[in-house]
Amino acid sequence: MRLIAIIFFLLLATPTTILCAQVGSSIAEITGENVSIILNPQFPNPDEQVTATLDDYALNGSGATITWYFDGLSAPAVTNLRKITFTAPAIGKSMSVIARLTYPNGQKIEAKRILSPLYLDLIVEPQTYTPVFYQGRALPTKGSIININALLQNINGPINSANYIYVWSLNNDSVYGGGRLGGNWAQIVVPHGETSVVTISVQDKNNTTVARKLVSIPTAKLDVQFYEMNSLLGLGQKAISSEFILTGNSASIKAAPYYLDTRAINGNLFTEWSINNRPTPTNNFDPFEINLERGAAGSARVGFKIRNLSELLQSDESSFQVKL
Amino acid sequence: MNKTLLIIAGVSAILLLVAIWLYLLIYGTPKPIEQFFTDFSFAENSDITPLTPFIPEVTNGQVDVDDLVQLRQLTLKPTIGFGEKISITNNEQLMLYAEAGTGHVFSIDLVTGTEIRLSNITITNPQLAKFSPNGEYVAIRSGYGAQNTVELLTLAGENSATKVTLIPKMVDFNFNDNNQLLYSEFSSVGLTGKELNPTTKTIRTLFSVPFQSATFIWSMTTTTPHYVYPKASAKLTGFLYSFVGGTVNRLPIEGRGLTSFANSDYVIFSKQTGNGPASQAYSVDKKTSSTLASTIDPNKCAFSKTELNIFYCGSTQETYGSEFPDDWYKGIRSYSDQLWRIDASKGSASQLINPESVVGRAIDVTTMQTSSDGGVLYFTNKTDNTLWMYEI
Repeated sequence: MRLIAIIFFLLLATPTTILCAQVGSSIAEITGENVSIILNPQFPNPDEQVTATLDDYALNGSGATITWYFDGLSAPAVTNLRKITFTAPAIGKSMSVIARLTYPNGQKIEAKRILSPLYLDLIVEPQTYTPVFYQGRALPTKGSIININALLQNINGPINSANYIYVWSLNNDSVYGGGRLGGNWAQIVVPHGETSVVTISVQDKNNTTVARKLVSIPTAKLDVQFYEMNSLLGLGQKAISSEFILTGNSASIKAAPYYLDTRAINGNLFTEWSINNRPTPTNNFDPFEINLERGAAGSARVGFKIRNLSELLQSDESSFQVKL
Repeated sequence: MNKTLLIIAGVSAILLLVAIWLYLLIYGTPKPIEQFFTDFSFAENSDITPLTPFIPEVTNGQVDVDDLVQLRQLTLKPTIGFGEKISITNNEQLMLYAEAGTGHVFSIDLVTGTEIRLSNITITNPQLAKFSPNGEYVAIRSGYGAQNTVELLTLAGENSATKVTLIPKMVDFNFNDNNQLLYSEFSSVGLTGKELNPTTKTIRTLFSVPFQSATFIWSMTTTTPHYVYPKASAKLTGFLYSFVGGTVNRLPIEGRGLTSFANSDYVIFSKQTGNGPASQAYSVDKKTSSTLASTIDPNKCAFSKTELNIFYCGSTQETYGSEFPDDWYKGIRSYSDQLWRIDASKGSASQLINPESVVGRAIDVTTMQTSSDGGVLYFTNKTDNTLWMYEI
């Protein structure tokens, strides 16, 4: 009875084992299910340097010869390398990358990736203050708003965003709770931390990811700089460093709070000018401007404090020495 | 005893003076002082001719150009824009400029030095002026941002300008070689590039970009591309796009702190790397980039109008640093620039002059232009907005 039971179980198990081996072998040869190529970056730009790593942890690949093929042509220079670097194809071109493992017994397993790179540019536009003459881009501060535009482009230029689903995430949290058709534009509020990581995945209508990009956006601090206001020439463009020499009888100085949330400029804001550490009221309509008049002699330290009362981490103070 | 010694000393002194007088009477006067001092007989055969700094003496509207040297300061007044005008019929070579503060327009004859005022129309808060190559028009922007207005002046001789206020609120603008005014204008989703005919005032849309914080590199012809990139910051990534015939192309140029300048054949650009800013030249035809011999700031460069692969830059030997270009834009840092000639096809660079060693003060080069014959560089000093020229 025991013998019959053993034979029965052996008969039951044997075909399954054979079948699994056959299926596994078949899938590996065709699609490389147990072996894969990991690309870094996963969705490269056209002409970008890409690192491809052979991932065959599910197999015992030792002893196998690794051959790499690009568009069907072997690359002997990288034979038996598990990690290679190559250049992604140009915009509008595709490239197949195959890693083939050939075992001593002749068995072959291969993994394949096809690269059709697109440009996916994330254009970051922080909505913070810079003076009118400033030629650079504003930087985001904690609690401020950033507008981000995702530009997907193929060889013919920008792709119509209405045909694609855009999935945005901020520090691994979904921004809009999921993908949005045609949602190539996002607005985020800068969270606490030194950087914010924004990720965008673009999928076609078959839910196939065609491009993905990650951008790390640093959080800046408010930065107060001082400039002389000239009644004829307007706002000077050379920042007052540590000292300012008062050559005439008076001077007008403007404090520029770089990267202050633009919503706060005319909003819930605390500003204070001081002379020799004593708060000094100004008669100006503009809270960022002070008029200095020549005294009898000596020098004075002029300071300026600013704080966004809606976002206390947006604050700064700075000062300079006035000399006669 | 003391009295005797005093008399002897006095007589000796008188005898010594008489002896010197006799010597000078017999053997002649001393040689020029230069032959006694700083003459160490070095480099007697040197062919180096030291340049003399030239600061013009402006008297009764006459700029002294007798003492022509390669590097010259053309204005003592701060300027907001300038443009060269060549008149073949009158054989004139003029430099037109708009004065900061008033927006008055002046003309300097670069041959005779005569300076005249072409426009005495005062513009409120003038910030930027661009001249048409034919010298007939100047567009002056009053104010910044969405509140600005642009005044178009037609120049017709001394104090004979007329003014028209243009309707568009121009973010950035420039004339091309056909004397058409190219400009960008805010739209609901970004910026639109347009072209305005200053004679008929007709407007044509050229392209649009879906972001508002953009820097434009305007094409000088109708067939070559315009370039646009997001305004630069050392901490944010920029990307370069070209627009020609309404078609947008993304160039393989991107990076943090990206600044660029370009013509139809070459793009020069700088961006932050792990070791600070570095510069490259990109060949539009070959689609390849090559590293430049020195780091440059494309904001301080101009291409030659006669050789497309040659450009000129103001560039410092100081390190630009990890905050560049933000700190330069803020006016926290300024530079003492040398003038360089750079061959984009080879990546080679050669220094033309170190202005500080010649004029004794630093020149922070900006808004550089080349003359139509390729022989002169014009630029302003960012420190005081004075106008300079350098004969290559």
